[in-house]
Amino acid sequence: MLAAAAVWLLASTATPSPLSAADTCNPDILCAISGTVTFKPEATISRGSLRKDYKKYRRRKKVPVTFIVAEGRASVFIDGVYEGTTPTDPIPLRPGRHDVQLRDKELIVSQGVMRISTRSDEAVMKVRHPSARPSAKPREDSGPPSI
Amino acid sequence: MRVGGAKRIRRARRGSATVGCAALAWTLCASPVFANSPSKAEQARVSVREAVGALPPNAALERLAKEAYRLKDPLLLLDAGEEALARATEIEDVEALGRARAHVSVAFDMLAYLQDPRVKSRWVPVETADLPAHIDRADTLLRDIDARIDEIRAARAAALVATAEPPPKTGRGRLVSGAVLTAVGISGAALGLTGALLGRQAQNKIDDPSIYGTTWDEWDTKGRNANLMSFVGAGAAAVGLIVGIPLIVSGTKAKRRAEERSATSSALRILPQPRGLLVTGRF
Repeated sequence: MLAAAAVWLLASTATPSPLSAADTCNPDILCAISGTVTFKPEATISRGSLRKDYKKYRRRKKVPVTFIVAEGRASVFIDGVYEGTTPTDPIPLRPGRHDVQLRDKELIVSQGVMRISTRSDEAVMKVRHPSARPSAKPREDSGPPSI
Repeated sequence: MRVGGAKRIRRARRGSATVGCAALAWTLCASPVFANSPSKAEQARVSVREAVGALPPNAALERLAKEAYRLKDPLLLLDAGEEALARATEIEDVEALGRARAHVSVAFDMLAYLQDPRVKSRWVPVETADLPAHIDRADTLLRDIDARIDEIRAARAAALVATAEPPPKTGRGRLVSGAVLTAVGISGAALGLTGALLGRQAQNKIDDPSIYGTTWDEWDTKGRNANLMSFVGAGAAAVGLIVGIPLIVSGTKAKRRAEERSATSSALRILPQPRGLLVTGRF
């Protein structure tokens, strides 16, 4: 009886096995498959907040962040500047918030605000290209782009 | 002249401030992002084009692309893409065309992003009013590159098909035609034999002295027809059997060879498809 109670107690208090970052990622949203980075899709950040974060973390060590787009390509723009094309080389970024946009020509693959933790040593961010998503419509590939 | 302690400190401070200002100015000038206002970007473009113009074609293309990425300049990337397209068209190199496509795609991404309000005011390599024209140029270039890649692939597929091994002969056609001709030959032989028998019978009647007049004429006509039947049958038999039997023999041999080849062959068959090649075979 005592043994059964002990087993029940152990089973009820045992924590579930921790999921890795990759397991919790939605492949259609830019997500860190490694490293302590969070991403808020479609969020925006003011220039003032960016400046504030820059001042706050300017003495911190930069974190190399790699961007990957599964089943496609995109160029990576961080804080308003082109930084590379996927799969990127590790881009050194300061901890704090950054405005991120991944773009394949006129198609925005992902955009939002990324927050890099000071505890992060490196990070890999991954997202699936919209044309490969299950709900993707066939891409129109005719006529000049509408601007 | 002896300088007091306070004055020395002031001079030192002034000196360090001068060094600091110089360092900042150097950073601002050396940073490619800060250089990218439309007018400065144009100056940088002119100097890059001048520097690249003196180089041999391959080195020039490599340098142009490298400088374009360093300066984050979409127009130089478009130039690099155009140059790569021209070079790749000359030498029919699909990989080089792929590189040209990559340059133009990145330029397209940059130009599209430069329309976004998120872009930093210090990274404006192109006048906003000119962006649509440059995007059109990028789009046209991408289409040209894709069309050229498709042309080269189609030409290569056609060349591969022309040099590929022809499909093995199974001997089926020879077997069928041989069988038909042999059947015609056997039928002809039967007809000829029948004709010969009838002719023999008619000849006997004609030779019979008891038959004369109209009866003799009837047997004479029958005999002629039987002879004709015999000749036609013999001819058909000769042609049918002489041609049909060798055809059957040859078809049987070809079929056996085809069966042996299909059991042991690992030959590849390459067939053109709308977007590339279909390769079939045993692996």
